[in-house]
Amino acid sequence: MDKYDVCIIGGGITGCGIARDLALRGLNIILLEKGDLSVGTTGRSHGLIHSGARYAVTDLESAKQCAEENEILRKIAGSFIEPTGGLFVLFKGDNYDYVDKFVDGCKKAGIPFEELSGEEIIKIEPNLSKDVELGFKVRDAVVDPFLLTIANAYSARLEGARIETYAKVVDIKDEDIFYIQNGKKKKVKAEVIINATGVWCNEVAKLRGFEIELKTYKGSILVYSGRAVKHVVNHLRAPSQGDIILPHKKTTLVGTTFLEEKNLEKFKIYRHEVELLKKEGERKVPLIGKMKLIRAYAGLRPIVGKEKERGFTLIKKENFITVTGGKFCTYRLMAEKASDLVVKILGVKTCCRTAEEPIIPDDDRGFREEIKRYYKKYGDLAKKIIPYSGYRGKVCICENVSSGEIIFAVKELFAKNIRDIRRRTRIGMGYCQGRRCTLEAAITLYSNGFDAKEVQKQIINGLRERWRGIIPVFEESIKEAKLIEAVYSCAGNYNHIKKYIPGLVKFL
Amino acid sequence: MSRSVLVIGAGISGLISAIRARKLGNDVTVAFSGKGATSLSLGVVDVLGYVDRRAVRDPLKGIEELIKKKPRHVYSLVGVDNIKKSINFFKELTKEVELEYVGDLRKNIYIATQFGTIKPTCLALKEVYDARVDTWDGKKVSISGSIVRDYHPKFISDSLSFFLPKFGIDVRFVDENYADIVLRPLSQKKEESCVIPLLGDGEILRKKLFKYAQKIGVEFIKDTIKKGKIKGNEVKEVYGRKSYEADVYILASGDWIGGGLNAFKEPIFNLDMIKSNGKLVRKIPFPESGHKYSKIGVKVNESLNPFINGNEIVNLKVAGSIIGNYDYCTEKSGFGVCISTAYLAASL
Repeated sequence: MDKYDVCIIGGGITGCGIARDLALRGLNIILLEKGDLSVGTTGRSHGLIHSGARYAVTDLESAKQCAEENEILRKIAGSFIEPTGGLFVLFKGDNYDYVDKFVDGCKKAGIPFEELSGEEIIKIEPNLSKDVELGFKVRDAVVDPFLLTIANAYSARLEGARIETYAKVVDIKDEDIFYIQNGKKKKVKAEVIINATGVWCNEVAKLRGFEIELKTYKGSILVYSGRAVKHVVNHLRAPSQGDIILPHKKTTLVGTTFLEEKNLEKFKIYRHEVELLKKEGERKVPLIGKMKLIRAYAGLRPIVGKEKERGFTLIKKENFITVTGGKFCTYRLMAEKASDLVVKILGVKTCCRTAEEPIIPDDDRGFREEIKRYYKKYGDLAKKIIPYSGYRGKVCICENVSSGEIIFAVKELFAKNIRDIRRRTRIGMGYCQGRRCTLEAAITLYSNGFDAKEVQKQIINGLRERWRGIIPVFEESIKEAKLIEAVYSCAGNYNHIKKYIPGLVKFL
Repeated sequence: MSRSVLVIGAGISGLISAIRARKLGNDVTVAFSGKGATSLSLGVVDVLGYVDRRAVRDPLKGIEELIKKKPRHVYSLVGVDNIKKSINFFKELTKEVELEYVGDLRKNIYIATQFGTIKPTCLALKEVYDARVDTWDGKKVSISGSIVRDYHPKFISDSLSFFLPKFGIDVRFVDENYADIVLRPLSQKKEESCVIPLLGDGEILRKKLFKYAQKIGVEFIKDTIKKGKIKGNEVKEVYGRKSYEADVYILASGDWIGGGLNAFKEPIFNLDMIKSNGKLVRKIPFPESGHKYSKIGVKVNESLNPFINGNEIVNLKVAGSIIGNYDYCTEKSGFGVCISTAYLAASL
């Protein structure tokens, strides 16, 4: 009988953070995620580890939490974080009154900051618009949200947790949780159930017989090719749309919008959002106007309670705990509070270790030359690539991904298809958006146990997912779109595949 | 009468029109930017694979049907006669450069692809043609060769194993030693093509035609043409780093891939475009009936002259994928349109 102390439903940063925390406390855990890890709101985050300064004026409690967690994450997950630093900048024509409120708030919240003149700022961030008047340097940082989530799951599994992806929960009765995986209905038992499903938390709560009042707000982000800024650049004003520009690997992100969105599965990015973000980006960093816009994506923020409230909530109903709200960068704290509640219910006397223990334990004596090049990309997880580092064949030219990384993603990092592999290794996230590497990645999968029919489905679904990101910025990306269409239609004839293999993929 | 001809673009359309114009005794110069889509292609000649989602068995018949249904399609403007002539011209030319293409305008064949799928085409290199899937029924076939990044023989044969029966072809994939038909790559270096055509084999054809054109006296200049000066209904000159004047200009600069189109405009002369209304792009990347944006391109008349604000430009011809009102991805008409329009444009 599959019986666990805790069943966590939801494999985003919160669910995986809780899995790690509870596993470190010695509990027997199972995590069920309906898709791949971090495909919900987590994967749509821009990965900003806030200094807290953004909330210094409007939400002091959140600001404090962000500031504290920022330092903790740098300690436990330093290898995954790019310590870019952040700038809050005031341009000519902006509201000068905000500056005093900002300084006041930062002091109250204990957020370290350094005031800089316009000239000093241009020196350290030369691509800013030259009419910057003053600014503040803070401890913003950037992380890859996929990677941090997976690192938490990896750590949880090392401590004995069971992580199941593509496992959708369909019914809950007291301690019984029913889910469907690979078309089969399965059941597990758990004393405590955690609902960490983000925007779906109401859907899952209903399975248990109650409702949660939830509002969802869409945030859209533009992705440009190349790094236009060195720091996270924030507009020094009351939080608005298009405030933030940040460097992320080889790209620049401009975000975000904030629009209520009721459709959880099929939401579009509107042209007016793209125009707004383009304008905001170019206003702060004029170079952005000359850069290549490669795609746009959007995520939904789950907000329980007052609109725009950024604190998190724990809702307990007997053995069923819903954890919702909050921010990506305070996940560890949310996980700690949720885990404290769990051990209280179970009557177990253990305490949280996640603020001290590094996410990937340091079991090697330094790292070898051959994995040095993976360190920047995978942080401490790079140590685990060693058995696969012999497979050097390059699969993705744009992002420099070797076939060893792809095999590593499949064998160790819970990847089950090309989209999962993409989230871990970044294939197809560069200039060509999957055109060059999809077939090669598929062939690597085939060489590692996937059958040909499954691999064909993956080629098609992998490209469909990339295509979705191109559509909102189509006018700017017609060349790349045509290249993808030409290669897979003219050479691959995938557009007529329905004729000789009906049912392979729905509605192609 | 010998005239000076400036061709813009050195993809297949530019090269075919340059060679044709030169063979007619003209002074031909080609200004080119890069390699274009030709260098990424499979190098086979698709003439017409599908009309209205239905597979075409006989391309000539298919074109006749297409001309009746779509009188503004580029094949309608070119006409069946010119298509026949241009394909013969192409066949003779490939024989001369020792890269002979074979095939019959009355018959589409199906070839296996490196994706493990099958696609229709009309002309191909003899080795590719002879290895076509249509000959496999009831046979034992081996797909051989070593695995490289984008070529995996067993993946191809496994995929084909579940595709081909639905297609009515009964084939067994066996080891090389027991096979009736062996698909052995001629070489996996990019200098020689593969019996299963690989992405990029088009570059081999392009290089051979390029060298041949040089041999017969076509001048090639690497220069990206940026703008053209129009006076009345004539092109006066075009310029990139240098400026060029000619009696006749042939624009073969490609679609978005080659840089001949920029968003919804033609950037050199700002020629009148075939526009598309409504939803330009669909949710899936390769829908069976294509995307509306694919039809966007330059508007031309039956002599392949373009227009500016409704005025026909008499000394400018247009060839290749820059032309509007057709969809090579859906129709499988890529090189067919390139070769026939290039031949016609140069037949001054």
